[in-house]
Amino acid sequence: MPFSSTRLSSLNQKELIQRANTFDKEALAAIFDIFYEPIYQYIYRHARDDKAAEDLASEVFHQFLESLNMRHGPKKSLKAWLYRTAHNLIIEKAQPDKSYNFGLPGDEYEDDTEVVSQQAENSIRNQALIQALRQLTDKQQEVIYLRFFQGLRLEEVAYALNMTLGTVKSLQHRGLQSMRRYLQDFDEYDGKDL
Amino acid sequence: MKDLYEFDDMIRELNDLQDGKPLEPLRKASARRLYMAQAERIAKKKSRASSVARKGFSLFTNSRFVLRAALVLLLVFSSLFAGTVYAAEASLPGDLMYSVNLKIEETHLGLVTNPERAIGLSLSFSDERLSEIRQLVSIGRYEYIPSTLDLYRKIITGPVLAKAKHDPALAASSVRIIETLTEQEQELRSLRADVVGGSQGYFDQVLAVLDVERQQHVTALNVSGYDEWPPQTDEGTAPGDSGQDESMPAELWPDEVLENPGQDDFTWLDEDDLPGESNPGQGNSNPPGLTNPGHGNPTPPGLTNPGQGNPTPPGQDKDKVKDKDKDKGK
Repeated sequence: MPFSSTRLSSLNQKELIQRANTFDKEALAAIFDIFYEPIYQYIYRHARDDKAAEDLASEVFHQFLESLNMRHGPKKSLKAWLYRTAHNLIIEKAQPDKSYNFGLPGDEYEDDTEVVSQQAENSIRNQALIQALRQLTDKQQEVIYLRFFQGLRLEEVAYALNMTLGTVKSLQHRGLQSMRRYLQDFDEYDGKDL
Repeated sequence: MKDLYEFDDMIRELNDLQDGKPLEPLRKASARRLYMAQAERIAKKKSRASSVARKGFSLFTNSRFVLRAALVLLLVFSSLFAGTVYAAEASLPGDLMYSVNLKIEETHLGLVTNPERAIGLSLSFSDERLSEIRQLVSIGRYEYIPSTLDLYRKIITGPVLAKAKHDPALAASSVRIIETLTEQEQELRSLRADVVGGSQGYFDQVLAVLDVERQQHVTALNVSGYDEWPPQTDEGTAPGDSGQDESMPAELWPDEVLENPGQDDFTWLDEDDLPGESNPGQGNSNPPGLTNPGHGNPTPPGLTNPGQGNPTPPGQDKDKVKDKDKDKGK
C-alpha cells in the first residue's frame, strides 16, 4: 500500500499540527510531502481528471494554510481534516453538473487498453477485487477505499465523510460482506466471467 | 479491526492493490512551490504582527527599556518645555505663545507663598508689561497696546500688591511698590508721548489708575506708622511728580476711592473688546463711556482734558481740579 509509508502515529500528527500552527517551514513541507499525493488520489477517484484533481488537491492545502492562519486548523487528526476538506470540495464542485462519480483503482486505465490487458494478465485476482468493489454502493466504495487504500481509521473516515462512527462501521461491514460474496462466486466460477 | 478478521485475506489483497494514477513529479513540485510560497507569505505576515505585539508587550515588561524610554521622553519633554518657555518669554502680545507666557507667570506667582516675594514678582511682571508695550510701540503694533495696558493695570490693582495696603508687616514692600509705580509712571508718560493714533487715551486711563494705587499705598504706609512716606512737600506730592505730570494728593481723591482701595471706579474696556484678544486690529476702537468717541484720541471716563498730560483721577470734578491748581499756584 503506497500510503503505508506515510502513515503517521497520532503523536506525530499532533506534533506536526503544533509545529504547523507556528508556521514551521519544515513541518508544513512534511505535511505536503506526506498528504498531497493521497489527497490527490482521493480526489481523482471522484473527478476522474488529473488536472481537476491537482487543482482541488492544491485548494485543499491552500485552505489548510488559511485555516492555520485563522487559527481554525486541525486540532486532533490532521489526516481526517485534510480528507474532510477534500470531501467537501468534491461535493461543492460536483454539485453543479453531478459529473463526479466515485471511481475505483484501475478505472484510470479504462481507456488505456494496453495497460488494462497487461494488468489483467498479471493479476486476474486484482481484477476480481476491482469488480467486487464496483458492485458496492458509492458510500460503501468510499468507506472501503478510505479505510483500506488510504489507511484512515474508522473515526477518521467518519470525520472525513461527516458520518457517525456507527454508519461508517455498518457501511464498511456490509461492503466487505458484499465483496466477499462476489469473490466467493468468482472463486466458484474460477474467474470464468471475467 | 478485530471484527474484520473474517475479511483479513481480502483486506490484505486490497492493501496490495496499486492505487490510482501516479502523480507527475513535476506537477507535484509545482504545487509544492506554490504551497510553500503561500506558507512563507502568511508566516511573514504573522511574524510582523507578532513582532509588533511583542514589542508592545516588551515595552511593559523590559524594565531597562522602560527606563531608557522614560529618560528619553523626559529629555524630549523637558527640552520641548524649555523651548516653549523660552519662546513664550520672548513673545509679545499678539504672538501665539504670549498666552503661554502669561500662564507661566500666573503659575510662577501661584507657587510663591512669601507675600514679599510675591509682591516683588508682581512688580517685575508689571515691568515686563511695560517693556512689552515699548517693544510694541517700536514695531508699530499699536493695536495690542490697550490689551497690554489692561494687563498691566490688572497687576498693579491686583490682590498681590493690594496686600501691602492692609498688612503693616509689608510696609517695606509698600515702599518698593510706590517707588516702582513712580518709575513706571514716568515710563508710561514717555510711552504715551511716543504712540500715535488713539492709544493715548488708554495710557491716560492707566496713569489715572496708577496714581490712585500709589496714593493708596502711601496712605497705607502713613497709617502703619512706617517712616513717613513720601517726604512731605508743600504740595504734598510724591517724589517724581513734576510740574508737567502732576498727580492728585491723597486728600483730594474722592472719598469713595479711598474708602474702597483696590477697586476700579471707572469702566474699563471689556477684555472681549480689546484688540489683541478677540478682535485684533481694532486698536482704535474707543472704550465705552467716552465723551468723544471716534476722534482718535479716546478719553478715559471722567477725564475732561484728555491727552493733556494732566489726567484727572477718576470721578474727579473738573472744577475741583481747577481749584486745586489755583491753590497750587498760590
